[in-house]
Amino acid sequence: MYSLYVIAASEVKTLFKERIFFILLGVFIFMTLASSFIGWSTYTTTNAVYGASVIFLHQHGVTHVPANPVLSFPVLASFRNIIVYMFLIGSLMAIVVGNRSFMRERKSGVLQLLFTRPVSLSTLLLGKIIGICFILVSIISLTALVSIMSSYFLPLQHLGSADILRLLVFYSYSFFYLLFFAFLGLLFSIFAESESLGLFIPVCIWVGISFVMPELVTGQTPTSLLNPVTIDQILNQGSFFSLMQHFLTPISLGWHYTSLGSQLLNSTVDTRSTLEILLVNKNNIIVLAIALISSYLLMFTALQKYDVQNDVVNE
Amino acid sequence: MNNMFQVLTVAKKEYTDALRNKVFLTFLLFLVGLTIISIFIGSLDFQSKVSVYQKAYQQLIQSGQSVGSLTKPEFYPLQLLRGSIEYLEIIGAVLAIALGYLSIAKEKGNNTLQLILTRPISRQSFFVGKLIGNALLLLSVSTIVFISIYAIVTLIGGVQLSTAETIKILSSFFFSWVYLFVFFCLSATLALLFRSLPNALILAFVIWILFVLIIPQIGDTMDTDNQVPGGFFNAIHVDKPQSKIILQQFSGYETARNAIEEASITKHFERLVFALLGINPIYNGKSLSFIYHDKLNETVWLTAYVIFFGASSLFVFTKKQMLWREDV
Repeated sequence: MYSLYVIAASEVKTLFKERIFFILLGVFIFMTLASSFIGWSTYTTTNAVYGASVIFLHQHGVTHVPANPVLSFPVLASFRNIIVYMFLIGSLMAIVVGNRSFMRERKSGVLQLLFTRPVSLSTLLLGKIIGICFILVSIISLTALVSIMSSYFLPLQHLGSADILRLLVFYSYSFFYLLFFAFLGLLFSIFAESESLGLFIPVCIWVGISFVMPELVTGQTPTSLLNPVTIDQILNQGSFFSLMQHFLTPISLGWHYTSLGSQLLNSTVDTRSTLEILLVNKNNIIVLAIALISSYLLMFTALQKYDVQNDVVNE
Repeated sequence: MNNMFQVLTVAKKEYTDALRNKVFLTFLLFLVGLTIISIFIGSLDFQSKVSVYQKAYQQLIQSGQSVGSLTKPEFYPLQLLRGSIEYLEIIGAVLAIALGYLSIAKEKGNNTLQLILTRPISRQSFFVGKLIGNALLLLSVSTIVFISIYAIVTLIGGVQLSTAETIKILSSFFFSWVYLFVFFCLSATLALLFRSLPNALILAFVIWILFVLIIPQIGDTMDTDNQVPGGFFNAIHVDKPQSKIILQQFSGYETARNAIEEASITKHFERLVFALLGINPIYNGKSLSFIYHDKLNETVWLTAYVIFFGASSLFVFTKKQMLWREDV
């Protein structure tokens, strides 16, 4: 138990000493703040554009103008950009956290030293995972706090307790999503023969999950999913896509994340309760859980096969 | 003459080294594979739209209603390349980052630079050689991608491209090469500046995410018309020309939105190539001179980017007193 604590604490302390981690964290927090501001600014401008459109249409003889569609949006819709930032920067940060965890010790020779001590592989891996979880929870808590606090400084953005609860559910789901990418980073840092490969392979997998799979499922171009408004509106109905949806949708983690995130933050008008949304999307949550367990098992197997005697890390 | 020979020798070594590098080859394969998949998906998507149109057409005819409200999907072969161009923007940039990083990392990691500089070769010649070698490599990457595109569209798709369309594809190919070279220079500069190579690579990825994915996304999500599925103006029955008149009152907001987008090299590349390939419908069928005239701003930006990053990497390499031992 004590070894577990020492490994986890060392993991956290070492990462918190790294400048690059703080650069990434700074970018992420800045984007969270920007997300609130952009959401608010777009919302108020769109309302003003609606007002100007009504005047324009009246001047041109149109008497009946449909109601302002933006007014039906709940307050949380202003935060929807955070889905994309979590999906992009959050995932990259998680890959880096996972990668640095093992690669640093392989390069410095600490790992070889650690293997001479009476520490089991499962304790080593679990200690590292606990450290990574602590780091991710800290990052996500900070991000959630920034989102909630920013809502009190921007007019028309005050969140009720139900909104805050829903936002917290979204951040909790995000934690598990990011944990999967941290696991990927960790997995490839165990057996990649070079530092660059240890980073490039998870980035490639991330691109596959985030862009290629959604393209095969929806038939839309790779960056279409970066607009949280239209995530659920673009399923293609062709036979090829139906087949792809049948086979790939269950494993398309990026698609699930953006879709569930979009439902939780009410990008489209949604009257369901948080629990109802989670129940409807239970399969997505189960798939993420399976992905986490599988990557844990793969990490454990990779660690068992790790050749401590002949390990050389190239550039 | 001797200098020229040295430059070419370094360039040749860069080229052959990359061809033996697993990271480079994996990314190249990944990029070509995705280019092909993307065109395939684009054609299936078009077929699906045609099928939906035909079904709706039949239903309206059978129920005796007017078919005037239906818009017939029109086939423009170059529009199928949208997904491929987006992959070039995303994966192509990662590939260029990988090349820039590896080009410097191998010298730092193996401590070979100290040895090379003991030979009668200047730093300038050495780095210019590296730049030329990698520029040729990226040219080969663009060539492979565009030959794949051309072959799929013409040989497999059976589409006959006109001379004008072929020239537009060649122009897009040239600008793709310029775009990739900017990311190569950025990554090489960071690898030169940072003592820790992994930190340089991570920072290059952060810049890549910001400029390739996030900044263009901010511009898109700030677009008033993108706030509602199907379009905000469409939802309140305002047509395109009317929306332009209304948005003139919000020029400050629109200018800010445009400025955010313009901060991204990817957006400049995308605007130019989408115009050349007619992916942006207003440039469909327009002459090359019209497109270049209209997109002069994007051409100037891309040129400025490549000059700035190329000069920066050369400057850093020749002027910086580098510590060639990497921090662990």
